[in-house]
Amino acid sequence: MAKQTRKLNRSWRFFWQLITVLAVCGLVLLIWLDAQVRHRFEGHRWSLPAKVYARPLELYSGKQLAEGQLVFELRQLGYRAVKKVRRPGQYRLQNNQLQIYTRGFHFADASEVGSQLQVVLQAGRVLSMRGEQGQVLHLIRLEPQLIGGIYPSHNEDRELVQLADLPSGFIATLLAVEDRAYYEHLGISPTGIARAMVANVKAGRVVQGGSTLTQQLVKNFYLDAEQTLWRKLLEAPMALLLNSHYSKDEILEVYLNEVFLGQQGKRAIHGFGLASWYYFGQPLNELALHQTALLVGMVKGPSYYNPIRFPERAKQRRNLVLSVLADLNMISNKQMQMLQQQPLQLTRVAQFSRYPAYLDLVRQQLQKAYKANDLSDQGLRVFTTIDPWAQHQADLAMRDSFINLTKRYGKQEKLQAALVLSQRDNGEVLAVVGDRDGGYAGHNWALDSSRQVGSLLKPVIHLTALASGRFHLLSPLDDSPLTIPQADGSVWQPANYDGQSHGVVPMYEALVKSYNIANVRLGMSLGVDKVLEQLSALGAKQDWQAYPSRLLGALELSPLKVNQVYQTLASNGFYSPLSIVRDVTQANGQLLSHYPYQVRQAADPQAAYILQQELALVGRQGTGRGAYRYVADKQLVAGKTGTTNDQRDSWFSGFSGRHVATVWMGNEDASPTPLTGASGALQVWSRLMAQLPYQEDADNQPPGVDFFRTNPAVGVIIDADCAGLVLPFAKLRPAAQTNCGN
Amino acid sequence: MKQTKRHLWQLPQSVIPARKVSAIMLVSALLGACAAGPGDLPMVEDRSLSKYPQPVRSGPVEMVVTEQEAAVVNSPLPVPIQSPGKEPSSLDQNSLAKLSVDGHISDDAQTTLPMAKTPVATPAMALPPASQQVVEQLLLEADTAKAKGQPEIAIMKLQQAQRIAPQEPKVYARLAALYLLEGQALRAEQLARKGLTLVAKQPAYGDFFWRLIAASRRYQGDAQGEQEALARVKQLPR
Repeated sequence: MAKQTRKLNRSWRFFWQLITVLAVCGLVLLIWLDAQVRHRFEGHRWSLPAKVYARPLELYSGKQLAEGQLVFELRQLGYRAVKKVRRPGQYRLQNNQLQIYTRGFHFADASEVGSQLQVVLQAGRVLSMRGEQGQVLHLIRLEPQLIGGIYPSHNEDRELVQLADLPSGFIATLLAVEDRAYYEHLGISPTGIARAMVANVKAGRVVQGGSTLTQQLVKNFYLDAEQTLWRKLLEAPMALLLNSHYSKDEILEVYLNEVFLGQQGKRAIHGFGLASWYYFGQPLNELALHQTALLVGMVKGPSYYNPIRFPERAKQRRNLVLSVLADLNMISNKQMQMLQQQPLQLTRVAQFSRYPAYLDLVRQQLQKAYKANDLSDQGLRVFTTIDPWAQHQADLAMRDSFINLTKRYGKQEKLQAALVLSQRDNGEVLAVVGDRDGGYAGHNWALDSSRQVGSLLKPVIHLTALASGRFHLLSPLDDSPLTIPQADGSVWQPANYDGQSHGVVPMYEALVKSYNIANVRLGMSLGVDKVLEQLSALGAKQDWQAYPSRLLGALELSPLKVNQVYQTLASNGFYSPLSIVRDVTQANGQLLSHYPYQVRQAADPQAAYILQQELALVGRQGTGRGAYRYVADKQLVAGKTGTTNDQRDSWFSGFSGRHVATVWMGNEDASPTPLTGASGALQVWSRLMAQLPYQEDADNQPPGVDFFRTNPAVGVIIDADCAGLVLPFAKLRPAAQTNCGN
Repeated sequence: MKQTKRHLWQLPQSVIPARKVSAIMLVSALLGACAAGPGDLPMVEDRSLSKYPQPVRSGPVEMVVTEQEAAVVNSPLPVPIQSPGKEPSSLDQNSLAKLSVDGHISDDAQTTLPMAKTPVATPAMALPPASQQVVEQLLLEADTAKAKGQPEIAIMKLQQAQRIAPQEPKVYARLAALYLLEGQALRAEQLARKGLTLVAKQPAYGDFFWRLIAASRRYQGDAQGEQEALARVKQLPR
């Protein structure tokens, strides 16, 4: 008996000890949980990926717009065409009159306030602009399009919103669907849990969560996504703790920004702010109730109710949310029916990552100045130079050219292509196409691949010749067969593309017709090293070994580098590094870095200008004349084709109006293609140039260059009233002759 | 004004420790001149269908001239075929007097600036006076930013103006002067060199750019280069 009592006492003691230990453990756990909750909540800074913006569209009187450009840009920005403009984000375009309610934006240098504006257009230009009070405006900057972000390794992205930013009815809708007792409960809702437990027991597994918003937040915020019992056990006390420490509004605001609402590839869409941009292309506060209802409905299962993949299912869910609102008398039945009939109104274009090749370039430039963490965490705002209209046209030009090439030459599986477009005057990169599919984020052929440039090098020979002061455009060059002994004892015999030699030709003709022999001779007389030095100065800096075949482009450059070289040629020999980023600001708008316009004289301006005119002859008469199948006749096309041995590479680089562009085509494995520079790259190039606003040169003829009428056959300047070719000359000129040189 | 300028140019090398100060004053004077421009204000790219005959140079040089085309190129052509355009008068003392030394246009001067040169458009080509007004506005905003001690904002405004009017020497003149004031003499010189290629129609800026190059070189302690640049000023056609 005594033994039994002792045993019982021991059991009791053990029991109490166990209870004490458990209580202590529980207490420790609670303290730990409390610390966790407070630490994470208070110390939490969301990692905000850097936002990358396109250049803003600037409107001013005289601004040229390509046909369709304005509407395209407004749609990209999520503006809606309406009959009466009442709210930010709306516009009406009728009879050349644009009414627009801008949203305003905080730029690096100033803030633009959103307001209602009137823009009058005429013949593809902005004629005048007026503000709300009818005052004349000189300059309007629309907000820039967000083109992507630089994400941290966990690929979370969000657009922070505050309670004050929300459209009316948003919170009411959210609470009606997700947590009606939110403002009453203590973080958990016993009735909700009971209901869920019954459902779970019935199903024999976890099928329903009785989670409050607070619990959902805890789940997202502190715990991993797995539905385990242990997680479930922690969730409730943590929700209680969270509720006890913070106000309902604080918790709600964090919830709004944390909730997971979809997945785009590797990128996770967090928060209603970003979801609004992602699904509707609009800021959250511009959403209509049926759009809000869709987002709220998606909380239950962002993948299951994904409106892009399962539009019908998402619509049903949205309509259910709307009927809940009607049941709660938040909207009338009539309103509900009207809203339920609305289409989903998803944005027609995916908002992000459409410009992978361009973003590669942005990252490349930013990595020089910023740490990877700063880029992915600090919410930096990066203002780039990309021109969404030009990029769109570049993508189309590439696509259409490939369709055409396929028709003509059959499927070219291995054929790849790249394009770089820049602003002629300041070197800002406006568009990059990194491969034949444009939107595919694979190997970037514009940046990461260097190929032989072929005849693209000839203009550099001519520039060197013109700058030497020993040659002018009518200087006679010998195109007769040539044999050059090599260092290894062999000989090199450059040949022309047509296999012929053309005797003595004027210098400009050697470029226009791309005669190899005459140009090699010219280059040899100048010195291969001098030509390569000039090439380096123009922007392709490299320690080039000087051997004769370099003169025919036996050297490899990426399309980006080639564009850099032609950029310098096109701006009178002034090198401006191709630039991608204009400014970087902090999340609050404070300027961090400004990338200034840089310029360095890299060649003689007179020689460069004369060369430009020579390149224009290539467009009018020479290997580039195919461009005029697409480009208007009044437009100047100045550039050079390049075709490498066995047609392995097809190039065209040149400028027109205010744009410089380079296109490359070639097989991935550098095997022969059916394309020459003219039949391949030039097609893409000219399709693009035909779609860009064209603005001719105004004042870039350097002093000391004059135009003369010439008789090229005789190689003399003739009287201005004779018929002949007008050519520019600097100090060195051919002799003048009367009788029109005859 | 001109005297002041000469005086500054002739500062002996011994003043070099204070050379930033002198460069600033000098650039300010130049900038003032630039802001006013020649009495005949330099035009910002006039895109209204030109009232001038189409220059040969504006087109592609292709034209193997047939008789029909000869009409387009406005024959009979002088030899050399000259670019048309207004010759601005040389720097106008009166307009300079309206400027404060640091290059800010006084209200008085400002009202006489851009508007007076707006080309009269005929109804058939009722296009706006191109981008001239917006460029003027941006230059003023740049001045304001500079006066507020925000050179970075001023540079952004000037770059914005450059994007709109990329071949307008006035914009390069302001940028170059601003960089020199900021002590970035090399950059200022390169901008002035670029500007020099754009002055065919506005020779008054040739004077400005060479003087600015001289000032930049002085700032860099390159006395010989400075003298060479000044010699170029003297060679300019008057």
